Amino acid sequence: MTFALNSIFQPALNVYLHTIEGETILVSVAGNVDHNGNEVFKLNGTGRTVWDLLDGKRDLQELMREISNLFDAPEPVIRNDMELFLKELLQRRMIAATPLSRPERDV
Amino acid sequence: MKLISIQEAYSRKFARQKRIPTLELHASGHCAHIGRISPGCRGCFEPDPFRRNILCGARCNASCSYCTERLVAEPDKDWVIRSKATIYKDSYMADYAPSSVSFSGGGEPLLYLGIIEEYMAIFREVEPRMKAKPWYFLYTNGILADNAVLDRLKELGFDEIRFHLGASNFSRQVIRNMAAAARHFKAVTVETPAWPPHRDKLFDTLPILNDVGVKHLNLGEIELKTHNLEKIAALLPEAEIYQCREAHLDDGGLVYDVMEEAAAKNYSYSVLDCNCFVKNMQRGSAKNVCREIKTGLYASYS
Repeated sequence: MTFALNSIFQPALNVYLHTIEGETILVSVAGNVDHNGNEVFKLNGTGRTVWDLLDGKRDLQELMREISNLFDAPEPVIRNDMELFLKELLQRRMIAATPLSRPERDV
Repeated sequence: MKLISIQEAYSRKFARQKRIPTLELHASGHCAHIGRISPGCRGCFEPDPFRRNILCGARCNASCSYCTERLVAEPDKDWVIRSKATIYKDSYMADYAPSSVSFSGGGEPLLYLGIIEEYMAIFREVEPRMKAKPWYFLYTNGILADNAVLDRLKELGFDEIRFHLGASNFSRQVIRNMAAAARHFKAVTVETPAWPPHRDKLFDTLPILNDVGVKHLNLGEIELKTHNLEKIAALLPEAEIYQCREAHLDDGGLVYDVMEEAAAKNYSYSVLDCNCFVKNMQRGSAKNVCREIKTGLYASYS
């Protein structure tokens, strides 16, 4: 699963966030089941922060800038984690990625 | 114990059924009862992808020799998250209308009142998305069902409480709890096994059930599992068993004896033979077939 570098991200229409047993859980009505048969996707604290930033206005660079301000980690680590996280959400169809203009390259 | 054929086991049941003129047969004959059965039983005979039975936990305050459902461990956190997330997920589906929601064992549900409250809070939260309100019911051995607990269950929105009287050996206190419940809830049901050693106590209790306002008596045929087979064999070495979808203990006609007694005495509660045919329908795929042909396939409910 890839996305254009200048994509903006937003939650898919039928994905809902709930707090269950103290955990932040994404529930997908589309029911994409992962390789372990799980129908739910658990977000850690950082994941929740990123999720809240997926407002359909920010691209990867802007998301990284926001996260860098909030978390003390090297830029390559943040980029790698962010890309993996967004790709997994895309694979599960829990978010939508929309290129703003002609993509410079794919991620 | 003696293994008998299904031809023998079924023939006995059908012969007994013929002797009860008020017997009603629904769901292609899988549902055999007198009187109108509980709405909570609907999910056994009709396909309902949204019906939920919540397993509360493994601990129990009774020790039934025939226990079939004992969980070996408490549900872990991931299991609980999946269980609760499934309710949320279902609630966003079109035509979300669970016919019923029940809480049952593995252990004794009333040892887990906090968990019941958590789940009921979720159902209350998703109720605005339901097309129709489900029938909420709870199974219990009744030992902890005192007035305070019954009040709480009423506040939580339960419609029906089902008492497993055999678990307390038909304790007088549990019967008092059940009588109190009959004043609180839309329906009180006794759901207890057709366990031959309980025969005399069950018959002694039949008029009391009528007096206290029990609406339904569901007599479940004992299922034999690897963990209760030896215990039952030791207690009832002459018992007869047969294999259907599950392996069952033949009750020696106990359910139909009770039906005849209830019909003869004109008791007001229904009596359901919750037997191998019910399990076939409840747990098998048949109820998902021919669902468009309503007449005669499904039971009617009070």
